[in-house]
Amino acid sequence: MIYLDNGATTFPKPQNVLRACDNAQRYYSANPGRGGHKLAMKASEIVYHSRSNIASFFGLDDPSKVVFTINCTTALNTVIKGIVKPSEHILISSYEHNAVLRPVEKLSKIGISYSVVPIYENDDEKTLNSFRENIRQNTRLVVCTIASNVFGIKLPVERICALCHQYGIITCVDAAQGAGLFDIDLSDSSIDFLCLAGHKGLYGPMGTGAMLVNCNFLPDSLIEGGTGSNSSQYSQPEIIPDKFESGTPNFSGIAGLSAGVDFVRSRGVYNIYQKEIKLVQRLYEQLNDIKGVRLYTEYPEEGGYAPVLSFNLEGYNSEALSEILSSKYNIATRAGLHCAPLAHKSKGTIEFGTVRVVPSVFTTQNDINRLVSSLKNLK
Amino acid sequence: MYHPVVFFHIMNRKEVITIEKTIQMNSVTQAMRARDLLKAKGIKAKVKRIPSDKGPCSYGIIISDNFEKALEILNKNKINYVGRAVGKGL
Repeated sequence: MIYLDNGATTFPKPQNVLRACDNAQRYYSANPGRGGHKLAMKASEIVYHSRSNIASFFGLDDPSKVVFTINCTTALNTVIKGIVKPSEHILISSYEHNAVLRPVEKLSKIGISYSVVPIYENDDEKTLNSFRENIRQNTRLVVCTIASNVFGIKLPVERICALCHQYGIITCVDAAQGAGLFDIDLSDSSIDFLCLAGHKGLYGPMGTGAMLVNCNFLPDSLIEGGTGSNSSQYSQPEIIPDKFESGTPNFSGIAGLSAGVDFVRSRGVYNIYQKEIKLVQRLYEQLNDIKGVRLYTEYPEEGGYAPVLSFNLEGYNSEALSEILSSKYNIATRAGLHCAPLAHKSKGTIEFGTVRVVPSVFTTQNDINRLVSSLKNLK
Repeated sequence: MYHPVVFFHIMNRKEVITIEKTIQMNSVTQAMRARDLLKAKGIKAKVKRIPSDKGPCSYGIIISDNFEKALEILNKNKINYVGRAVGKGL
């Protein structure tokens, strides 16, 4: 199979990730942070090592600022629902995933308002002005993605966060499509909370994610429960990461995520990005030459786009086209709205969706050529 | 932050008396962070689950030497510790 659905989750996973998951499950699978016996302590060490590894990868000096979650959605929900109170206001970009849109929409039922800020492709100044114009006196939080998960368009998140800080607004970045592809250094950043998916560009297993805390302010906890610490206390501990990590963690997943970070580090974030964006650029050029193919962005220049490309083929519904690519040509793509109706609304594709192609570090030019020749056959 | 209360853990092993000192930490993560920091400064420390005056379910770091220096390093690096632990059951 030619797998080009890496925006949903990267596949295959690197060998060291598979080994780390297997070893954790096979040899060390006691409950970390609970008991004091040797195996539980070994498991705790593995989780701590993962925490330290991820902290250093993103420029955090304190491993406890890495809160493990089961996915990026949970991390985003924790920030959004844990910070904003009734009568306050949230800014989100027009490229946000439902992981952001649905929580803020739910909060709107209890008196929390939100604004969707338009993003302007390849015009960062206009995008920044757009955010500035939407800031209100009661704006408490801004949430924006590093890049559109549908069209790859990159947002100037660091500048948006710096702008919002000037107004005392807490900042949260959805790095689901950007972690592992763009250099993110929180040591010198206006990002207060960075939410990660572990299973995409970080090459960890599904069921992993993290909320990175880069400020002194903590949200309320989303769920409460056993943390293995201070158990006589009825109330949830206020210390991180315990405050946000109730219940048994995804132990082998966390071990695998750390191995994924090792993998990315060994290949080099920039090298991975460069390889993938070149594949997408080549695909863009090839698709542009096929009559009947509709593309929705400008040419994806390096630095301005994540390696994500959406298109449609005249005469085909996006879902139908993706199905044909799978069944007839054994090529995996993702069709529809990609859980991002705001992005599709921005580009006028909300009615019919698009077919999305996302390469990984394992994708070859030959894979892309096979997709292009399949599409030519379908014309 | 509480003031630390050092307690002496007397362990009779192979007829050799070893005196160890423990700092109770807020969580296993903080305990491991403290251990790594102390290790980087040349102080040996070991993470262990310990009972405390607030009940069970606590983690601490056990230090054999340079206890005062260890506390100083933790304070300097703003690593919070609970401080008090009881020896019973160790």
